[in-house]
Amino acid sequence: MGGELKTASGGMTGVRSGVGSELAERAAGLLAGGEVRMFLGYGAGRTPLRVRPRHVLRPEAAGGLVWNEFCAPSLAKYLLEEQEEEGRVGVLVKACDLRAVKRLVADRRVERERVLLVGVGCPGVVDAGKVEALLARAVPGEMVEEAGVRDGVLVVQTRSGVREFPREEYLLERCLHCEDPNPRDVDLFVGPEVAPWPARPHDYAEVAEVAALGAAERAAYWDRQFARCLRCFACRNVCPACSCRECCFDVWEPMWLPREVSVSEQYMFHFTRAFHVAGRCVDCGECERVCPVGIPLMKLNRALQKEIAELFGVERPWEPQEKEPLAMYTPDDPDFH
Amino acid sequence: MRCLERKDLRAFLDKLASTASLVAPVREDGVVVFRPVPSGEQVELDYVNPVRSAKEFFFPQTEVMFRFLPSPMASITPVEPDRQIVLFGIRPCDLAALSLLDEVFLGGDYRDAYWGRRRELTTLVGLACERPDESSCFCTAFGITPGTAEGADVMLYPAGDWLGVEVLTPKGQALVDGALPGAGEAGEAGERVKQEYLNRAVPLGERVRPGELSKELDDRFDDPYWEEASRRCLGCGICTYLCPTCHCFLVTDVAKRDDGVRLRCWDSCQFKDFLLMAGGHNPRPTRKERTRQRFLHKLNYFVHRYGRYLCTGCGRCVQHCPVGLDMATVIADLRGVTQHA
Amino acid sequence: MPVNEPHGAAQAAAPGGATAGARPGTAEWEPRIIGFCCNWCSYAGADLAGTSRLEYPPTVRVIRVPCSGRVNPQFIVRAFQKGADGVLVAGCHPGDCHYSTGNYFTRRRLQVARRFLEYLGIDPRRLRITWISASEGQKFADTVREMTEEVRALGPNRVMRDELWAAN
Repeated sequence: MGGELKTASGGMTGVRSGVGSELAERAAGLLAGGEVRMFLGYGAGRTPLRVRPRHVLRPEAAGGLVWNEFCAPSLAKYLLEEQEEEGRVGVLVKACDLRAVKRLVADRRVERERVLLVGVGCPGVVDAGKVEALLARAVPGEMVEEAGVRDGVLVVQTRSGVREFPREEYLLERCLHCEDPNPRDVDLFVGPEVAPWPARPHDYAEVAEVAALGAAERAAYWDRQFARCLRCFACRNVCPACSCRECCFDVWEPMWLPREVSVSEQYMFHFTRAFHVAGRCVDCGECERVCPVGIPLMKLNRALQKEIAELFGVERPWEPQEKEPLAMYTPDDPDFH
Repeated sequence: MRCLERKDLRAFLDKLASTASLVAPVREDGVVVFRPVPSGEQVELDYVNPVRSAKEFFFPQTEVMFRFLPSPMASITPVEPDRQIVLFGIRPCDLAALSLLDEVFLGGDYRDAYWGRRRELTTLVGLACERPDESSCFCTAFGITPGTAEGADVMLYPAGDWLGVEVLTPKGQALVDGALPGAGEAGEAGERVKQEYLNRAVPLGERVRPGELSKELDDRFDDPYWEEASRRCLGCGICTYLCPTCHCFLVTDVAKRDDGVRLRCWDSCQFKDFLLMAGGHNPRPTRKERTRQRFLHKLNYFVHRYGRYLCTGCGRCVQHCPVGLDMATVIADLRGVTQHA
Repeated sequence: MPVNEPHGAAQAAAPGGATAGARPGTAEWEPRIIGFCCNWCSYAGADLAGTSRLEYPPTVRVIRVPCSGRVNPQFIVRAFQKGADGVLVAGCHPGDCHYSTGNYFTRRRLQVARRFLEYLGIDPRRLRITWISASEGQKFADTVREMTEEVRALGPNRVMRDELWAAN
């Protein structure tokens, strides 16, 4: 269990990079100069482990922008909403967020010229939910007073003292697979480039785990996962690949997704949500991160990535393709008889 | 107040499970949820609050109201719940939420038979909060404490190697008579433990007391705050569905040829099409209107109608809103200085 | 039907034998297969099986579609939800699609769908995709016969089945 208690008391200095202030200046400059009408970034959240999306409209407000290892959420999806209004929108992107933006652009839902991409090198972000769960076991109920990553270790202070979490314990899962933590093809880059770390290859181990079960056990597994599903649609709403003007789940005629929440209809929802992004998922993992009841959505998305990779020889299914795998065909595709 | 040794808790739960359907918190894939359990074995006691609130046992996410058949004679057959259950481990905030919803479903001119029947069939065993979450619990903002037992039939107060067992209603008495026949008296120690819970600090609750906010909100319909706050909203239903007091629903018929059922299902005011009307008009077309609706309903409209805030500070929205647009944040924002981007 | 019903109500709402057909698990149970057949090739092939008086089990309920590419994977899920024990999708042979390219998309899409459904717990033998031309009446009959026997051996499908509304 994580969170080894380091010291019984005493404070710790917060770790804040200089990149944060450079970013705030840049954003203020872009807004003041009229190059963008809005800047999407992060602000302090409800605890030191969390940040909050910030839609900055005036240069004076850019000072509240932060950049640190807690900036896990992706801001890309907000671009969709902001396309409604005239003008250009600036957005802070990590390498994974850039894939999400590229997805929206490839799907022609966001115009590239109307986005100003500010890239930042990312050292890997903290999985706040995971750390909070570890803290809840170690120091139940205690508020996080300060937190920061120092020399690759997450240091968290609560009332009863300071706890440390090594990188492999705090890192968000998608960061393990990161090949290049510096987004390329951006309009501006703030801060220094970050040295890459060995990327864990996509071996789909989590998919194999479920696939190895017998059919009846597999169905029982999904029955149990889906039974917790709230039908809140947070997964769909946060997904950069989900951008239909009218989602099939919101349509009444035909009733693609009956409103009753039963085991059967949960399968319809989850099958469809995953299938509709098959070949287009950018592996950002935001869906699983926002799910309030811990449904392992990446086990669904990656199963489809794996199938598409194997069936059609798509080497990197999470990279936005020139032509999406299911929107094309070849005469020699694997056949039926 | 009676006294239950912690070592006898398992037997108590087993007894409850054997005499009625026992629904209790269990840890499932790392998440704590209420589930029907066959015995006390899997019951989890180390939790703040199950992620899904207790409201779904009285107001299910999908509820069959009645069946209809065309033949031999057109008939409508109401579907009535009929199984007694014991709901174990419900926290003071969720108990208070049930009494708020009683106002909606049982008060007024129309009595909701479905809600009412499930309330009748359920015995509530509450559990005082040993360790409220300092960053998300704020029940004290609404006059609720970690030991508030109102609404429970039986209330348990954990005290190390024993628990105080307080009976509050005849239903509770029957449960305790059946499941704890030989339990001793807790005496003064029990009263002391109860007082400690009633006085237990919930720091976030002190910081976000609404005070006169409801009245102030009469004049803040057009506050620019709603536009600003709503920008980060994802438009999902996490807040409304996890909330123990939210209760909006839609009614729909599902038919196969001629036989069918009428269903009542949860709906969320945060969904884009919540108020979409025949003809295409949508009075709440953007997130601004929908975000404003949520908070005005809970902090202003409900107060006008029922005299109470429609929030019990359970903290689920605080913990689970992916973008931090939660009740504690909004109350703090509305009472403090609002920051316009 | 609803996910959580500790007070026990929804079961009372289940229709009790209002529709014809034997309940799964009884000796009289026969597999129910939904067959999506494309208008130009496989539906015509099915027709030919009929006019040629070829015999095959009466387990398939045919739904005519303009092209196998019309088959949305959600149709397949809906079929299983509503009580199908197997789903057949029959289209023109690749290269012979009446709309030129429809079945190429079918091929890609349903390869993925079939594997995904297996991942969710549906035996892949319950979803058969095959190419049947307008002249292949015999193939249609053989396909139905083989699939019926396979699905019969697998038994009634329970995964994704909507207990309230699935045919008895």
